[in-house]
Amino acid sequence: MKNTLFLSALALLGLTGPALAQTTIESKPTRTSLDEMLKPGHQEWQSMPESTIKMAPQNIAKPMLSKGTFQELKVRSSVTKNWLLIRMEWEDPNADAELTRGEFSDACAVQFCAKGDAKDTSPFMGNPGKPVHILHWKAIWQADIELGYRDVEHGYPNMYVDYYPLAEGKKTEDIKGPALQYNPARSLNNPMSLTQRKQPMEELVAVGFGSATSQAHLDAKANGQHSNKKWSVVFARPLETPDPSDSQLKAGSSVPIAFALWDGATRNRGGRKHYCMWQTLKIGGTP
Amino acid sequence: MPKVFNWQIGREMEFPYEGARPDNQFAYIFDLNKCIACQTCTIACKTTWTAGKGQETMLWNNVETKPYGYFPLGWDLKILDLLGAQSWDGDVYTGKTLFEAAESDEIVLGYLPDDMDYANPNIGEDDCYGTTFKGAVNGRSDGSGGAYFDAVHHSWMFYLPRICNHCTYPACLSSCTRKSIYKRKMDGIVLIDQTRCRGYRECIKGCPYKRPFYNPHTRTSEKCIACYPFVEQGQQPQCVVTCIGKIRLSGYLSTPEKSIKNHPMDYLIHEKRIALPLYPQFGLEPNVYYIPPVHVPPQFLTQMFGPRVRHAIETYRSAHKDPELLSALTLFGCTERILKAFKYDKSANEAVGIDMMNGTEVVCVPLTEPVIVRPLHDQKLGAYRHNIT
Repeated sequence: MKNTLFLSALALLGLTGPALAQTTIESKPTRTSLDEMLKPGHQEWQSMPESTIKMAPQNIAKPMLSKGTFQELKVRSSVTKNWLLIRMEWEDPNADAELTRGEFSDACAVQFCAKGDAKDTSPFMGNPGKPVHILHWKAIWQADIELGYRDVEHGYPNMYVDYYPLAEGKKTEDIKGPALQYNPARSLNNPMSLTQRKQPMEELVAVGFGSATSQAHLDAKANGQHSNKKWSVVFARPLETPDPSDSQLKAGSSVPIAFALWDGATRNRGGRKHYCMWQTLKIGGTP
Repeated sequence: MPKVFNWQIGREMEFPYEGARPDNQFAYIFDLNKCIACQTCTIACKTTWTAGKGQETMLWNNVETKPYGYFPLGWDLKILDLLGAQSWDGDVYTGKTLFEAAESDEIVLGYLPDDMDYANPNIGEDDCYGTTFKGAVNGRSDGSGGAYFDAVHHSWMFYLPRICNHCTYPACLSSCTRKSIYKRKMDGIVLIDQTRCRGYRECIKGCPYKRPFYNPHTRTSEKCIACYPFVEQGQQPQCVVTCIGKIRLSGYLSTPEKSIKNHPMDYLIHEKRIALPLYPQFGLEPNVYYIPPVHVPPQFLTQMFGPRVRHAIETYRSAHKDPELLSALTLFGCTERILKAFKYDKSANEAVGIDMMNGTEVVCVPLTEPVIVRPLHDQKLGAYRHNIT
């Protein structure tokens, strides 16, 4: 069923012409340290070739975006001895990094084939038996780390509450232990509810629409910044990881890669997103 | 899209999933003739479930005044406006349900409320229809009527307590792209899986009754859980049990063709048809039923409760002649236990309730309150009785 959907969607998208044609992204080796490369503004990124990927609004599975706000994504890639780096840059005049008052966060993602290849794995979140491995960054998580967890009082600075039952106080860090009875999402370790994130990203596995599941163990890193009305986000992931649900990569190989963007200002979230077909990532370096 | 049968609208309708009714459906009846908006139900629910961080503005149970109150703001006006005027042909709804009226990009017709729409839960409280009209009193529309309060019966308002309806065809469940919302097979209670929810708020957008709420501390959505830990033990939910006015009854409801006459829920909803669903035209088959307030113009009530409003009001007004009906109504708020059967004990003039879990008679309530007349002078105590006012 999903394969039929994949193939018919491919046929449908073929009608949109060259807008979603494949691009080869070249990933050149670098000797700059990982920590430096994680800065999107680092000088070294300028020597990496830039590819332009056309992004389209998701219009296959409801609820859909009939009209998107982003048309293009600029991608650069690099590789160190053990790490693959992907730098994504797109124009977004507003940095949407709030979630306390009904807003939605800007976000982006990179997708790899975890088991198969571009021929048998749907670029639309994978399909049963052919999972995809996704690195997902959210602006709100970047803000959580840089500025502190955006909790209720961040959205309502003048709020008053007398007390929270069984909590030691009213701040985020005071809500723990028996007080978590009122916050089952936190006591169940829902990845959306992590108040002490170390990275502004998560790794996911998916086998089709609506199946994306956060991995318990995070191997990758990310860092994003907003300047000059653009977001630029760098993902770094080990080429090889001990996690069997991750895609494993090798220097000198070519792999399918895809991207997604979310515009918080227009209430993008979940399937309401911008996406593209499989592109090719040519990983440099000595195999 | 699959077709399912919705008995409240008397026809089949489109629904994103193959219809699968639960083995049992937990349902509620609220008697709007008795609600006094004391908000005890609201506080009971809040203390039990939503006193945590991020839940400050959540009211899984709320009581609003009709016609000018809403929580969140204008929730019903907005969806009725989006849906547009629709019609019934007798007991069959000939208009579009929210699934049938969905735009081409969407699963269900809906909207996401603004954050500030939740800021004033008491808006319109106790505001009557008809008090402030200048001149539109006693038929004088020429302005000569003046802005004064005339005949009492031109004015009206009523309280509408609301919880999650645990719909048979939930819009929240249909909207969730991750299938994070599920309807339990054992009792039809609809729950948001707190491990799977990613806070997309599609459920909030989809639910016309606006019963899921977003928690900014956990960044997931939450809603009424029908106090399922109590229900599993054969006890009625907190909002039912704490209701001072005894306006609420909860229990299991059968589908109409399988109605069991001495089941209190089946009796009131299917046999007597005195309790009606809220906005059945949305097509969700909600499982919270309301006995309409008899003092409110039926024209207004028909939009809210469907075409059987007049019949429900007539039945309620003649309940005093029907001891069996009176028994069912008298059992509201009289026991914590979920009842599977009730009966009218003629010799004792009592309503009797039978416990669902162990089949014992768990409550007896006299239909007429015993009256004892005491003499003015109490000889034993050597004192006079006085009214204390």
